[in-house]
Amino acid sequence: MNTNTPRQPDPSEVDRILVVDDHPLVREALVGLLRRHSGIAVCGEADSIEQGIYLVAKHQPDLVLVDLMLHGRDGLDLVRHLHTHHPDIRTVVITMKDEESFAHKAQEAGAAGFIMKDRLTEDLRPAIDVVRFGGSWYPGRM
Amino acid sequence: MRLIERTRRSIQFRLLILLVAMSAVILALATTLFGWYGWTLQRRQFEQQLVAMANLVALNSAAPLAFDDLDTAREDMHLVQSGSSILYAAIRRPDGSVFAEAGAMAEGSPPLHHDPGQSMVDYLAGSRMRAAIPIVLNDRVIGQVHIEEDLSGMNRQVITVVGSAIAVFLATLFVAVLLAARIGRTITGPITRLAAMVRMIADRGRVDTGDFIASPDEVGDLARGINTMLDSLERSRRELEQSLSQQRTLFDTIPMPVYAKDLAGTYIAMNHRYALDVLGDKPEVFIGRNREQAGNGHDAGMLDHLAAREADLGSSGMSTSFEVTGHDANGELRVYRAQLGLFRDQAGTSAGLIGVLLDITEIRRIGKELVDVSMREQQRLARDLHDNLGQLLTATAMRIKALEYAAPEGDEAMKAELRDVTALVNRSAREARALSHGLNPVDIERGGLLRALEELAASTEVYARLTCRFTSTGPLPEIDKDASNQLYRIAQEAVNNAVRHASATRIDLHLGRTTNEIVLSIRDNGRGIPQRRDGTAAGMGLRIMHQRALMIQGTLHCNPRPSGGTEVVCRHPIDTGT
Repeated sequence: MNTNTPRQPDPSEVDRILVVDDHPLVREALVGLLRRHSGIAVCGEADSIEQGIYLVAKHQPDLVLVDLMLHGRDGLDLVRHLHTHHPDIRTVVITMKDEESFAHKAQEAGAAGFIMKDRLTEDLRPAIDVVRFGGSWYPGRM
Repeated sequence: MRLIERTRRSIQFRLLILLVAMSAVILALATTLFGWYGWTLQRRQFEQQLVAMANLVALNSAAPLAFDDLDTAREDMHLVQSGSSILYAAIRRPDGSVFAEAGAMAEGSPPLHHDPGQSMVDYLAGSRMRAAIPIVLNDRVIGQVHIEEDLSGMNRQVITVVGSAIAVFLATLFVAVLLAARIGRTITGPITRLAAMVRMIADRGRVDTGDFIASPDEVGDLARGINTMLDSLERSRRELEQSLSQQRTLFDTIPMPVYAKDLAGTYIAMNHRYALDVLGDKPEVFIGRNREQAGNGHDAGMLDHLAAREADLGSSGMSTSFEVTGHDANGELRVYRAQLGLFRDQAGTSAGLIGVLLDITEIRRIGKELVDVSMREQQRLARDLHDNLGQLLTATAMRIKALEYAAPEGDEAMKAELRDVTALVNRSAREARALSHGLNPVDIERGGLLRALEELAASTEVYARLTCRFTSTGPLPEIDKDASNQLYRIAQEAVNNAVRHASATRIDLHLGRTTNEIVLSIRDNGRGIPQRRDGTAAGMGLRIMHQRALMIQGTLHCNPRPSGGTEVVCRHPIDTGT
């Protein structure tokens, strides 16, 4: 695991997070889990790229968690959009797929982190902590 | 005219002629001999009578001559000549001059013997016999007696005798002709009856006249024997016909094209399926014809292919089975499994070949469909496992993690328990993903066939603890999903065989290409291909590999390597878009 932490997090700051996942149960569980963490506020939930873009514009979140597959479409399209139009918003890709190539693609698209869904319970909090302060979270990658 | 000629030619006629000719010759000879003997006997008798008369006359004439008593001498001569057949009688002096005579001497007769002391008898013209006898007195020849006799009496007798002989000859000849005819009939009768019998057999198929059957002689035996033989022949013929009929029915009942050819390549039999489905007409159109004469049927290429393999069979004598494709009457491409075998005559010599074509088009299609369905199902199951179960497990894990955070501060036991449950659920999610991966190894999104083969090599190294390497030479064209899946499964099976059956310690997988083929090879250094026994895993595995290659229009060869081990090579044609 290689993480990069350029600055120490300020516990007084509240991170506003937008969750974009097309699977309602996963989305619900993820939101529930995020809410258990102090210093994190979920500002919205979306199940599609379009809704994601709308809510980003509306809430201006600090961080967006994006599922790689959104109703058969490539979640990286949203990542690319945010990277281009909202360069200050950090994105983390969450996925069921464990392929090296997807992590690579996510990094190319401009995502700050890449978390396997079956590692979310362990990696979510540390990844958010790393990414919110400008670091990147790509386990297993140099 | 024909009848006469036939009669002349008949054995009976020739026998008759022969017997009559023989009888005629024998009788003519006998008659001639009899006539000659009769004539000779008659003449000698006449000679003796004449000489006796002449001696008597000579005895009586000695005195008149010695005493020159002319009157007595003349009287004696007249007395002699007055006999019925004496034409001339004379007493001559030793110098030949006539002393006394009576009657007329034959004119132009040769003179008498110059020595009057010699007796003589000779014949003169005009049916006369002449005798001259010396007249002796006291041992001295004083003259001779000269008598000429008319032989016409004797000739008449001879003619009577010869005539009787000829009459007897003719009568005997007549009897001989009758006898010859009878003998001819006796000898040729059975032959004639046999001829009639043969004509009857030719006309009616058997001897059905009581005359022949009831006949107690050899002809009857023959007729009965012939009938028995004909009955046996008829039974054999019926059995043969029944057998042929059964064969024809069998041929036509077989629900697949079947044909038979002689060694020269001429059709000698075929069923309707072959005639209609392959050649395009009724069987009788093609029987007796060869490949060229029978035309091109629905697919010339297929007939050429079959003809080539038939020629191979003729030279090798080995039955052969192979696949051949050809168009049917509707122009649809059919796949046949052809089986060719030789049949032999009674002496065991090859007499021709039989070809059977099993249409496996549907089996092929259903097989492909089955594999497709099975593959689709596997992929669906893989997707469900990955997308649904995986997601649900992930969601569950996060819920439990949330519970862990929500647990009362200080209740470390609860928190530890919840952590364990979370880990368990996460592990379940990973297992589901691995299962999904196993069901659908060649995921295009995950790098396709190349990646799948790399993973196969890597996982084999780990699980089987041997060296397994994958290499590829590119650039490789895009391989479609079906072909990728089948090639992967072939590689997987070959690797499995190498590990489980050949005890290999090194396996090399390679994916490359030629101008128009993708070539997958799997080489190992194991024990080689195990002896194939039906039902063994290796045999079944090989068959499945072949089947998979066929599904993607490819070929598969499994050969021992010269250095030991086995090489499996699968070639899959590249769709060049032509």
